[in-house]
Amino acid sequence: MFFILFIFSLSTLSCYKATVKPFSKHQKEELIRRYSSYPKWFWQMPHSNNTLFAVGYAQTYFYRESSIEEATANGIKILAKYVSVRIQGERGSKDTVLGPEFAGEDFKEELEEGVLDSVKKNYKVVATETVGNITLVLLCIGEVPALSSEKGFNREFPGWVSELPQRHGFLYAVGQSDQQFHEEETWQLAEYNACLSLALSFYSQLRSLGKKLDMNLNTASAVKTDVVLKRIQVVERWFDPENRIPYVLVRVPLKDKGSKIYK
Amino acid sequence: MKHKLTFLTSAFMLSSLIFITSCSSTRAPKTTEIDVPIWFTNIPTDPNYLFSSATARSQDLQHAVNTAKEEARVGIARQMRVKISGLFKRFREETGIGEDAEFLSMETDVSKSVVSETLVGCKTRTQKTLREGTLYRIYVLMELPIGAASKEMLAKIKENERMYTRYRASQGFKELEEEVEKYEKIKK
Repeated sequence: MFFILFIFSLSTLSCYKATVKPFSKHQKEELIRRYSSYPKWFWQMPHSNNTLFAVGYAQTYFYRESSIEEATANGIKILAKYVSVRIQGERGSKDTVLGPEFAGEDFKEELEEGVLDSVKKNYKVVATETVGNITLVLLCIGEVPALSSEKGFNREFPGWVSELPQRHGFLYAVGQSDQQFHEEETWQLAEYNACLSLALSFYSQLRSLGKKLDMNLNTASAVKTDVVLKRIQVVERWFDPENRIPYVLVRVPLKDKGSKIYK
Repeated sequence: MKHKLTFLTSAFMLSSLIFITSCSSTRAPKTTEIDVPIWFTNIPTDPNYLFSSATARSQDLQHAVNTAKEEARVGIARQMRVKISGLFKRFREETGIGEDAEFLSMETDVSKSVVSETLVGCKTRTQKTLREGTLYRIYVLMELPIGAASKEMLAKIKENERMYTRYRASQGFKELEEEVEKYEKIKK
């Protein structure tokens, strides 16, 4: 009897086709409803010439104070990075039969000496919010602005996701990431990717080797960067409920603010 | 015992039959339209920028983005190499240097180092993300201000005193300096 069941299940499982089921309308609406309870300052970060802002993330624990403490510690590290960070590393890709393929990367972010201590002494907590499994803390260095407690999520596709803003005196970049197990990791990864993109836009050394065999040209290339970026600022965040992709828009001022190629 | 064996054999054959018929398909695969953005095939033109488009796909979204951007950067670097070769050819014609081996070797060095180093301000102009089953497909259009590349080229030429002395009187060199000046004004 067991043998028959085993054979039957083997044959039916073999016919199962692995496909990505499209997100059902109900799941999409649920996701939009959840994100609508996020504070507006998370989606559109406050900004000012004299103040730097950052959001700290943590899981929501049983004791809310623990979550806020962890999110604050996380936010301090992120804020220190936004004050001044050296980003260096390299990324490679190569051609394969199926097209270009990512070959690996190795990037490092280093804080300048004294920056973290300075941020620890001077940061201020502007707002905190616990939404489901994630706790958010908004921190700043500089004048604390008046913030509205409005919540909401704009489901409209923002233009900056496909086309970067072109504001004079600023360099912009967008980061995105795959869904991670913990939501706070998803957003942090998207921010990290945005900062890397910023560094590579600011300065990149490209090496490329092309080899031609018959009619095929194969290339292997690597792009390297080593820059110090100062006053990085997250401008906006958005989540694509259709494809489940988070997007983060960051910028860095170009004039007189000290961002430079590390030499 | 005999009955049991027959029964098991029948069950096995029946399962195999179900397996074979279920997994086969006689339907022709559907042809699907590919949603390629217009700017990917019709790259925009702007006298102040170099453009390059690229596409990549991967199960990991960020890998797909990174690969596509790198491909586009390589495309821009190739265009720069062509621009540099053209520029030096023009310098040679205007100054009458001809096939001077020493200058040719210096030019090759400059050309190589400029292409491998100069990607300052190379950024994404437009990007599109699509899902293809379990994979992400990224289309990206990168741009590089020509002034940034010209600035680097000028710096490299000035490093070599002999080359600078020979080329600075040429019209091509003056145009290069004007391009850099224009770029510096735009940056401010």
